[in-house]
Amino acid sequence: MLKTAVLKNNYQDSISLMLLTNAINELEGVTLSQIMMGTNANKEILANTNLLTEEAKKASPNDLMIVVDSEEEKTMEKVLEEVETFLADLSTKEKTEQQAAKSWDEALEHLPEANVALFSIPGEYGASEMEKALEKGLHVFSFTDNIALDDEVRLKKMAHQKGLLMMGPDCGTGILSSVPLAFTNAVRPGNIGIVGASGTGIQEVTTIIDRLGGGVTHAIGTGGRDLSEAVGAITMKDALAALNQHEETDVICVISKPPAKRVRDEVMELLQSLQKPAVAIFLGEKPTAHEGNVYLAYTLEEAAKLAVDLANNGKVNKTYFEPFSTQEQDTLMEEKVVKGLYSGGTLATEAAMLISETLNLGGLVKEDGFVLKSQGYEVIDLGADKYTQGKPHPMIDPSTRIKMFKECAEDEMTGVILFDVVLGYGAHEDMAGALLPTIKELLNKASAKNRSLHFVATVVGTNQDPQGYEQTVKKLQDAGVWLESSNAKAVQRALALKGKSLVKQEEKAMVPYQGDLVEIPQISNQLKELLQTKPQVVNIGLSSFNEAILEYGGASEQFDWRPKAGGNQKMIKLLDALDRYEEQIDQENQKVVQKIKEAQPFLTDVVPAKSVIPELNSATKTLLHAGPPLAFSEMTGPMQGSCIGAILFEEWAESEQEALALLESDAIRFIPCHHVHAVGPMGGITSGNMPVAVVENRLDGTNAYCTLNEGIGKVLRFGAYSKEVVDRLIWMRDVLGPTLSQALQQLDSGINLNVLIARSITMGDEFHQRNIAASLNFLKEITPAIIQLKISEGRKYEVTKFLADTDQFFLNIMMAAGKAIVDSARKGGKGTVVTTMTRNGVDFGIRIAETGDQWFTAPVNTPKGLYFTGFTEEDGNPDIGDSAITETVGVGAMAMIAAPGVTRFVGAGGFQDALAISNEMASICVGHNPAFSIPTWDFQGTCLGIDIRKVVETGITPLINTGIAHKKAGVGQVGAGTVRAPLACFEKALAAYAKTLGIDSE
Amino acid sequence: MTRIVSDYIWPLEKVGRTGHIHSMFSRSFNIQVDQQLIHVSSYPNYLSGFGLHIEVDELQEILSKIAIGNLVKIQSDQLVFYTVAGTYHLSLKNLAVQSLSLPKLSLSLDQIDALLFQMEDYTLTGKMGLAFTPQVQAECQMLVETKTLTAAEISRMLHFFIGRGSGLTPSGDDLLLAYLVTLMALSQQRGTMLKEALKKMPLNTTDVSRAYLNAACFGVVSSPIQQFFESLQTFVSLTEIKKAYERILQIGHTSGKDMGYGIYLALKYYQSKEKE
Repeated sequence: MLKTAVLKNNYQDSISLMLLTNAINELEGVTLSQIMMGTNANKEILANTNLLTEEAKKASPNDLMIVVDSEEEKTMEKVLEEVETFLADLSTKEKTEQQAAKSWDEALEHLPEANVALFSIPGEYGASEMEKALEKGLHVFSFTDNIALDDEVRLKKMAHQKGLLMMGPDCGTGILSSVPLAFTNAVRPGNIGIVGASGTGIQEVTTIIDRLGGGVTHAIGTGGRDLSEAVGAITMKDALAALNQHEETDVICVISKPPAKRVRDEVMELLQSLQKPAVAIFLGEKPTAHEGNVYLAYTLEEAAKLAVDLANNGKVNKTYFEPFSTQEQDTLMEEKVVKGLYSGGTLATEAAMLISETLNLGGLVKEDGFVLKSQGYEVIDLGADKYTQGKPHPMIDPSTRIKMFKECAEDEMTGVILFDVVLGYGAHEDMAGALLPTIKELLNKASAKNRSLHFVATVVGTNQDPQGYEQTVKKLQDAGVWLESSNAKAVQRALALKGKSLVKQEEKAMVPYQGDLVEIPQISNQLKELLQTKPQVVNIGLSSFNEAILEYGGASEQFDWRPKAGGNQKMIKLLDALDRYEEQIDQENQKVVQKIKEAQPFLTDVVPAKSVIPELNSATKTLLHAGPPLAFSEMTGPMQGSCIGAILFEEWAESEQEALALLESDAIRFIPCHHVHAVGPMGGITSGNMPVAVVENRLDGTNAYCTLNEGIGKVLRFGAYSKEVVDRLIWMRDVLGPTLSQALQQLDSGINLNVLIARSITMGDEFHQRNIAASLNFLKEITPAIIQLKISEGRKYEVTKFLADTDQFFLNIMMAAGKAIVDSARKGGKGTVVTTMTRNGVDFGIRIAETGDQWFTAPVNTPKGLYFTGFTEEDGNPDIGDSAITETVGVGAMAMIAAPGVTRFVGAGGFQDALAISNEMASICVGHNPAFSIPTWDFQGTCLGIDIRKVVETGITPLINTGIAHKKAGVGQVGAGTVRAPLACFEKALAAYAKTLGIDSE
Repeated sequence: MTRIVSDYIWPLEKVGRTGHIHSMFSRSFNIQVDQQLIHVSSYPNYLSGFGLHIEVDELQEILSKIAIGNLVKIQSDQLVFYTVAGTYHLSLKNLAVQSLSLPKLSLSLDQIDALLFQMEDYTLTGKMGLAFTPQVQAECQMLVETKTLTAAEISRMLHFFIGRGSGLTPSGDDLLLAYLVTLMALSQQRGTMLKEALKKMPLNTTDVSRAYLNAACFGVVSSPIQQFFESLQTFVSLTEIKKAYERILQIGHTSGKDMGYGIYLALKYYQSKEKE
């Protein structure tokens, strides 16, 4: 039985999750589990193991999918507890290590001298991030694999042009100025420099050099494809030129998997032209002589020995081949075979090459992880895709090898199991210890059956490695494992147990080089500096990589990277394309936000809506509604209820039924408030005789309108339409509206809303969910004017009492002010700033400066929050109302920190949560508005100008404080809470914006 | 002292082209090159027979960077230290080369008597690193009183002293080394016999002590010992000789006392032999 949990917006790196999956699989009651981020690639992996559930299918790349197969109902609870503990430990650890940067800018601000970017993020996001690193002048070390070959070529060419080094992709190992990067051994510093297109090849050679007493200061990984025809050894050539100039390097060693012929020859020409002796091993080649300046090796061990001898005294032996005695052992029967189970790919290749040559097995293969598969002899690279999809690499996780040990030992024909144990930073903390119980068990079993079974191993490591070379060797030897000092010797031992000797490697002559020499490329200052100083690394991905960097004197800054745009490739491409217009867009956005900053909203009058909105004064019965356009039939309950109430108020019908019939007959024209310079809260239903507040933005004379707040309880905006609701509307039309209008006329120039807002924000209002300070400040301004009016005392009292009782009265004035501000900013606006956010209960709609009146919509979310007694989320209507104009201009939930009390009311936590919300909202905005400074935010101004680029890039959508209407017409408000704008409308806006620049999202 | 090197290891390239940091102390360190140590120090009045003296600041900077096992490249004009902190270049230009060879001594019995009379004041047996057990006492007595030692007796005696005691240079080694070089300086046949025996046997002791013994076999000693023998050579005043002797006694924690006692034993042997 499959159980699924999806943790929203909870990005974790894949290696941590693989280790977590292993831990969960050990839990009692768990048959199988998989914990992964919700990328498409991961969903495919789930599908392949029949774990892809419907819930998992819906997860986004930023969501953490937990799928567990278990027969017990309660297993998932245990799993979630375990996951929570694991992730909590991880976050505590990461926090104590250092405060991670959230963006490139932040990372470079923290580490301004950074010169290397170390990547260990999923390949699908890698290329664009690496391009950014190169653009910022950083050398790239890409542990990240699965980068397309085209991208590799492009990135390497770009790096070369900029004088930078692109190490990788799929570069597992590297040492820069003695600092181990990624999965690397701690090697004694020294006068040998290495460039390798093979991770474990570098590890084997550097560790043997160390154990022979030599040292390596730089081991530059190029990635396995560097010597391919397409790449043309771009990185290797630059690295060789750099090492040639590095004064302290005396000998240069090149390690390569089988290269493309042309590229090999080019590398050879360069090696011959260096001023320092070079050692080269092109795996698969069996050189018979050293040539000119280049000493050619057959095995990795030979390469290491040649390099050490050259580094020590400039002389080399004619051969380093040491034959093994095959006489003293009880040799295995002829039909017994050797099975190689390797965690290192290059070691597997070398073993396969030596075994095949000795036994004439017909050469290497490349299928399903097999490197050799002939006549029962097998060598498997357990780091191949087949064994690592959804599982950690065998250098970290012993489980695959343990399973394979058992399978191989089961096979009666297996005489020798040959394997490697790779030590170093990044590798398992005690791989030998993890493998030993199985080895002992299998040896005991074989012994009980009187069967000959041998384990032969080589340990790739040094005594400085965290696991300790000698310690590991002893552990294995004590358990009865044949231990050899190199991979080549381990193969020799395995074959000797079969009574076979490796094909003798003849003494090599020195022959002159006959080919061409080339001019050694000039190297850049950045490259010189890379080899002369400790690397200063921005670490993007696995935080554990920081440990070795810091321990060996490098500097590192953790960049807490998350997939851009929630991993949406289409959006990533658009954002990357828009990056090229960054300056232009930023300038356009500045113009828009400048208008918002300079806005001068004044409350000037309260008038019947039809007097200022001609559409409400036409022969066609017209109602305004909140949000983007929609028909009556599409409206949710509360908006429909409001329509009934408005019709009864306008006396277009005498009863609810008549009103409904009228509405269903399509006799009513519906127009979004926003189309006529108006806004309306919740349903936003506005009819001609309703009084509206008039706010003038004196920056350019733009006017905007909003109905007046009716108070709380049964009110039209929440969909109530009973007699008391209609009666109140009539009173507002006949008493409140005209009184306020007359009072406002008493004031010289209306009420300066900037002043009122600035004052009220310091008194704890955020102007969406809390307006009590602003309402009182408004009352303070208007009351003296009301008192002066020549109207009855009773009327004065009624109006003043209503205003005093209506805590949210100012909300509607704020909305009109917001509308007046954005409608001014929209005029002639360009760029990516959001100029409208609104909801109609079905769709959330936004507009942006560049595209004027065009709506970009997506289905609304349902608010989360606190419900009045007797109601639950089930009763809540989906998000509705134009009141999100407050958030559009930077108040409301954007300014949550100004009104921390509200966070409790809307169920969003305490002060720290309020702070976190405002900080998060600031991260998607262009800047801050100094006109409205928030004391509790260290006097920062309110958020200013939501930028759709930032929203799409971060996946952070604006948060909106909102009342919650009952989903049925006529019930009214049932709670209050917060709701997120849906990402899709911002993505649509971004695509449309990009199109204006000629960038096609397809 | 400026920058000085013992001629025993000069030029350094003859020792080898690469070495490793062998051991580190607060004011010195050793580089191992094949079987030879190079002792790099900044002691104001001490240069090892296989030593290189450099400035204090230079030494401290190197000590702050290096670690045991670090590679050292030896070139004609510099040493290059490959450390985790980076490479460090120590220039070998303008070095003063100093001979630390043993001078030849020719002392009269009166001089020996006077010397021994002074030395007995120091009552070294209670201050040495080597516990003065009856067995040690017997061995020391044999060094003085036995006029002729067979090859077997020499071998047994060497095995008894070499590696005996604790410390970087075991007390037995210190005693033996001083005994040996004093006899060599006095051109005693026993000195030659001991030296040849030492050259042939595996020295089961610390690397540092072995380096001192090896140098001694080649007639090379540390500067305080050389200075002491030079004071004996001129024999200008007993006060000067005592001062030089005391400088030896001050070496290390107990090494100096062990060596002082070794010198005393050799002189006693020489005295009794000469008196015959």
